[in-house]
Amino acid sequence: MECIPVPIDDIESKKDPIPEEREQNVYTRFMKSHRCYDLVPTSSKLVVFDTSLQVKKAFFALVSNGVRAAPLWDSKKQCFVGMLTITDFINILHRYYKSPLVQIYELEEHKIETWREVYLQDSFKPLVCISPNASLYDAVSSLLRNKIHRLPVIDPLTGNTLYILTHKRILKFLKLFISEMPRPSFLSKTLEELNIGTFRNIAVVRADTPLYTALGIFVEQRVSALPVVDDKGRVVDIYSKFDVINLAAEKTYNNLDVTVTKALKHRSQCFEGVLTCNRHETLEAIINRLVEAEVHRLVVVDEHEVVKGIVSLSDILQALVLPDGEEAQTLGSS
Amino acid sequence: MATDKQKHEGRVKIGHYILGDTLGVGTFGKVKVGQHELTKHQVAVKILNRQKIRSLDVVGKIRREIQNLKLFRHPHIIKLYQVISTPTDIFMVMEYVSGGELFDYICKNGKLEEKESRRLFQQIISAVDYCHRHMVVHRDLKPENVLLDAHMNAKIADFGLSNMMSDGEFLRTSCGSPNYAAPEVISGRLYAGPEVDIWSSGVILYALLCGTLPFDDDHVPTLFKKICDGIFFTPQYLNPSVVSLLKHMLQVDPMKRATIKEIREDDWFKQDLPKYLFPEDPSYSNNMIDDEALKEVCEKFECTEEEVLACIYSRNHQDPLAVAYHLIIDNRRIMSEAKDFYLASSPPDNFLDDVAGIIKPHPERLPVFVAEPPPRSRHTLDELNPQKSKHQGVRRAKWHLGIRSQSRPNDIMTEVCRAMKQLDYEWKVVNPYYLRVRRKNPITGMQTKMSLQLYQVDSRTYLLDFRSIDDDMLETKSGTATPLRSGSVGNYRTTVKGDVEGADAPATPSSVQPTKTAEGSLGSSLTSSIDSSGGADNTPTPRPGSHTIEFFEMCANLIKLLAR
Repeated sequence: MECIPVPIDDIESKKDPIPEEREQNVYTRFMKSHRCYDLVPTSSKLVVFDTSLQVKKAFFALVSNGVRAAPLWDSKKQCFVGMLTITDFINILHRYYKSPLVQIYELEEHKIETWREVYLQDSFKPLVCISPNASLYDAVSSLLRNKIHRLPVIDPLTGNTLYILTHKRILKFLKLFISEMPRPSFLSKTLEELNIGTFRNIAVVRADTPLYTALGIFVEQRVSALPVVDDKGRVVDIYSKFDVINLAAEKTYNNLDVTVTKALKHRSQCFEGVLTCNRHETLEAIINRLVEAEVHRLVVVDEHEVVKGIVSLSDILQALVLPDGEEAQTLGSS
Repeated sequence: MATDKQKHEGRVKIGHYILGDTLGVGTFGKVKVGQHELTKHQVAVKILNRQKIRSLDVVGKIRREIQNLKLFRHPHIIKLYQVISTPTDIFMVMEYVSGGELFDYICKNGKLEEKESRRLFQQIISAVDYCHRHMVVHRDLKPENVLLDAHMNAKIADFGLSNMMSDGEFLRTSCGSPNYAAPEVISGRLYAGPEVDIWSSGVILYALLCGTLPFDDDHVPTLFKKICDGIFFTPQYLNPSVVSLLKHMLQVDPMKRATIKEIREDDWFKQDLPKYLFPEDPSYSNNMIDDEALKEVCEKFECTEEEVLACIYSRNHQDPLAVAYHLIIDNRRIMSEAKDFYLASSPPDNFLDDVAGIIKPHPERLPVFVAEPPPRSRHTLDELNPQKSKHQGVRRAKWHLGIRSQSRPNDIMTEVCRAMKQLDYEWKVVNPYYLRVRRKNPITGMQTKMSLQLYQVDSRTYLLDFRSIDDDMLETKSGTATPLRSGSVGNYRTTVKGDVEGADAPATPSSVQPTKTAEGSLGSSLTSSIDSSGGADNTPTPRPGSHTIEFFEMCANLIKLLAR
């Protein structure tokens, strides 16, 4: 029974004391008054993998179904035990890759459960999930606190996974109703004034950086995208974790010695350029750009297009929903 | 909290209507009276718990059908004003009539005069004809679904609702009250077309004239046999001309059964027939396109004129768009012919509009309510699909969950039962080709249930359909029996239902718990939905395992074994 995922509590009846600056925490209140259920689409595709499935097949299945993550079902324990995401694919490639001439045995032969044993070893953690009745505030807290990007919504009545919640969808939902809410003054402040985003130790790669090195940065620094810069530090492209799944789609994962530029060739037709912003743009403009372009982050550049930082959906949600590091107290109670 | 139901001095409010007493419990849920907070206009509010129609997605897939039900305008059909959906329930706001069920009337007053019977029967046939012309079959006609207004006029309720269930589902729910079911329905045939309504109308006519049912028996197998034999007792006092009509309508062979056209040509039926019941036949083949109606369809369904025209030109009369188009034209015509009949009970004008403001669900659920135009099509909320842009024209995979076989039906079922025995599944036989199966999960201790129904695909091929029975959550919630069954049980029918279960010959102990009442589950689900709008206090302990995955595992094991 230890295997029952423990969803975060339903919306509690803890009503906010009426705050003095109502508009300042309007988004927090919005998130507290909507449930995860509100975000679950009427119909969507959900792919579940049995942990006895081969990892390679699982990644192909992600690609052919057009999903980025899948809950994992352990039929021996009869419960969901985790998620399989592109990060697993990257970790496998990075850990087991030797050379273009050697097939990655582990990728070819391992089952998901084998991989999890190797990878998790003793660090077994229960699946992080959320009840459809929990508030979006709880969902945002969980995403940020656990530093995850996929939060499965599991119905406590059936044990069924209903949906996989993401930052993107939450922000998009907020954006749909943002015009109907009082407009907090901080929306017109700049990134610099609000100090939103990461501006130090930005991980970047160059056009000729080998793919394997880029994967190593993903694994070690736990970032989700790497701006590709030229000699002067100007952004010319971006290589994200999501681009890695293309290796599975094109079955080109056996050669990771190619350059990042080569690896990015696949999306040459539909790529609309790196989405950037500068530090003097308002938070509102940033949100609009992120939602409109449906990207996870913007590269912050100066007037010469030199990379200065990254602002991601996590940063935005943290700032809008959990200002003042509010998460610490709430999360302790759940 | 953006929700349309709130506590209003201890009462529940739906839109502007304050819910009052329970009017009844029908096949699909509880019906309560609602009163407009300002105008005091009364409505009936049918509360459908989403979990009951969980497998079907009412606001998505069925939205157009419901949209059409709202267009239905007939003096003898209960009007559907509005559908309000919340995460837990769907509220259907409908016309309220004060006369109660025809069933109760007959129980109280006994049989009706021949003339009076004919008057009501004519109204019922008119309503059934109207629906059939608009591609909707009731499939669950019975005196409980025929209501009476203050002037003893018939009003048929629940038209179109049975269509929200797929056929297999419907057959199961209909087990509860088989007295009105046509032979082809109880014998488990897949298709239920307009003829089943003719049969049921015949049963109603008999009940009107005789005060009893043509087919009735405490012993359900005997009842089934009586229905399938189609032999019923005709009292001496019946007018011979009505007896021949009854016999024509209660023909076991659906092909020989009377059609609406034949009923309308029947001499007994034609007597004192009011003209408004059968206005001139609309000609669907009319080549003139009605621009106004076309525009209205486009507006209501957010589609282009080309889409509607394509449906009309291709004579695709079943397409919701075509149905809507014809309904709108029809309504206008009937409006002018029988004006006073419905104006009398129409809802206040502003009713339809003010509902829009209350709900703030995800826009995907109700796209009509989003003020801003939808963003570029690329910007769906779907996760980016790497395949999408590249292979747009790729044929979608078809999903089947079941087994096709060309063996003889009995052999298929024998094989299936043998395999299930080997897998330690338990089952009970609802009929030889429909089994309810359960398996106790050795790890979680939970029961996973499914049903198996054998369908005939063509002359040689059979399809064994697997279906998840998703009622655990209701049981844990309310402690009552399976919703599918309890849902189909009205107050008085409890006894009939008890017999149904008693008559089954379960291969293993029955999986169905004794039914208390349907009240429990509906009551508690309503309360819980009210509670949850304020703050949930009845957090259930999470169910171990996953119902859906366990169902898939059950199917997979069975398929694997059968494929050997």
